[in-house]
Amino acid sequence: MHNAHNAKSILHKISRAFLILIAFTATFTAMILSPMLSVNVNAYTEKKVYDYGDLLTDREESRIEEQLRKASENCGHDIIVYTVKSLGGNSVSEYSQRAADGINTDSDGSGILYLVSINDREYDIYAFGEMYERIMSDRELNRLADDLRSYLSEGDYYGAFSEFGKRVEKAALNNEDYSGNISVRLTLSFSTLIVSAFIALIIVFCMKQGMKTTRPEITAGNYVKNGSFKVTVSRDVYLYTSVSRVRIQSNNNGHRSGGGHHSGGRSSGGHHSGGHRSGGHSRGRF
Amino acid sequence: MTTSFKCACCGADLRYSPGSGSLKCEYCGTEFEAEAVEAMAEAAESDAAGENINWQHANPQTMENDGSTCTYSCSSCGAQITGDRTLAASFCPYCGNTVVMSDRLEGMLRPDYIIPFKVEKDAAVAKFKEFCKGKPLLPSGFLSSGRIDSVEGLYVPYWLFDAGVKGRVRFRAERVHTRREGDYNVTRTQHFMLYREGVMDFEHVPVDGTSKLGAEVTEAVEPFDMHGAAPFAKAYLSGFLADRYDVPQETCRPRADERIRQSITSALANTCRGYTGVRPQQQFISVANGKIAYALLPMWLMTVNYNGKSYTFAMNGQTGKFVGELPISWAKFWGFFAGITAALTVILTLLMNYFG
Repeated sequence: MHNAHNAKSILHKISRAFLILIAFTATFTAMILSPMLSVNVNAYTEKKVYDYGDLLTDREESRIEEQLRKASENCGHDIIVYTVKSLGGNSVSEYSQRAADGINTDSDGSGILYLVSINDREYDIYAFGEMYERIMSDRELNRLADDLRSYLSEGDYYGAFSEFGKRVEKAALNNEDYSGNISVRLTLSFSTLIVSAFIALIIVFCMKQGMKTTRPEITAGNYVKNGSFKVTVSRDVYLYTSVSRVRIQSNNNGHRSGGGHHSGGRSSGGHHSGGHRSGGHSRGRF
Repeated sequence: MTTSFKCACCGADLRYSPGSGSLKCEYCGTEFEAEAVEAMAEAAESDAAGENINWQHANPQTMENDGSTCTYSCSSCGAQITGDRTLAASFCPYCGNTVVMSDRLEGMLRPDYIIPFKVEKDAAVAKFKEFCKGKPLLPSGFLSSGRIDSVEGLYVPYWLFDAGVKGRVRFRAERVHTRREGDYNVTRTQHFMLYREGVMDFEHVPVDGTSKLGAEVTEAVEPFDMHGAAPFAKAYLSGFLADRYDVPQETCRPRADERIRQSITSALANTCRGYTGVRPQQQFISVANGKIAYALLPMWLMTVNYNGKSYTFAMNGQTGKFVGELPISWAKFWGFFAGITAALTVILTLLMNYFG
């Protein structure tokens, strides 16, 4: 009976220990994951549609506005549509970049702006910030622009902008880089776990060592008569020498970190609002 | 006459004729100078000579009993411990099971020396309680067994070894120099044979003569101050238990030899300066006029049985040094491990997020 009681109390203790473990793990997992769950918020603007060129009816405009606002919130980037009657002599890329800088002033800002000038029959899709760095490369921009051009040629501006919003939102959400962000975060937590486990093991082993102080004595040093030790013979004899040679590795390969964020981006001459933001264009005529 | 010995570098057999000067090993090509060759030859001779150990044995006599003492017998471990009737010991200090008082007397052996108890029982109880404090891995059922007060003062039988010892130790040592020469890192290792002889006097090296206590207990409570050893007088025994040896001195002798060997080797090793990696290769001691004596040394003992294993706590009855082994609750061990890991992970991650 005594044994059964012991087994029960041990079970009780083990389950208590596991409860503590689960509580801690739950707490720390929640704390780790919560920053990840909150979406990467770049300061984004309220109004998404700037229809100065009057290409959309009021109803169409509000529908696109709602679509783009939802999409922007969903993926955390600014998705903007900007129409004008005329470029006023400016180049279409310069115009779109200035417009974007004026709307999204955050130096860390990220988004994409679709500029259409009806009189010039020119368009430009300008992606900036993370949207350009991670999600829409030059090639993607070109492809998007080409696909939407047919809408513009037909005069289906609503269709162009709606498709624009859908495509960008989809690309942003599908982007592997974003989930790569998650995997980096998880590795961080995992290596922290390993380090903590290692330290914890050391601590617990020290606690264990203090529980046993019985050990045999190797020498009889305590029983030596004081001053009785004398060296009577002492001889050091040289035997031989062994030599080993190791060739030194010459390390000429320096590391050059891949370039890349700025390839393809063109910053227009003149001023920028805010800090340096990488960006890319895809423009054309319709 | 040729002496044969081993090449210091590769271990192959070498043949050497005295007077031939330097010698080259056929197998590894290492060349040795005359002095080195001589040293290796002497080493071979010394190895052949071996050790010379002579101990003069003790011969303890049985004492007469006067009827005031009786025997406490433990049926579990077979201990037969002598003590006053008035002691009324209930637990065997060796194994923790109950003992039975009987009138049959084994006959106490008269020891050459005895170190009287200096430490009181209260101090032993207090020390034990203190040892159990602040040990988070201790199973909670352990302390509540309420055995703390059954600490017993026992005179433990020991053999004491006295000798003037001569030691011959041979070491191998190296000196290492690293230097860059052109495209290479060149490491030159010089190998040496170090030869040391010394003398050392040992007084009363103790080896316990009871099979019921392991060396990890009886040696852990050392040192005993042998200056406190007095010639035996019966009066010292009253109020305490006393046991007689059941391990003969001849069996204990090698343990004493080994401890003496290690002492003299380490003292000689300390005289080898200026080398890296000093390693003893051969250690020989010579004991002439070694004397063995029989002694009773004081110890406060208590053994507790927990979960089928026995845990012995011992306190040196002269110096008060306390040693013991406590059981470990593995549930608590892993529980603490998990808890500390989780806590540290949270802290570290918070720190990294804050500063990263």
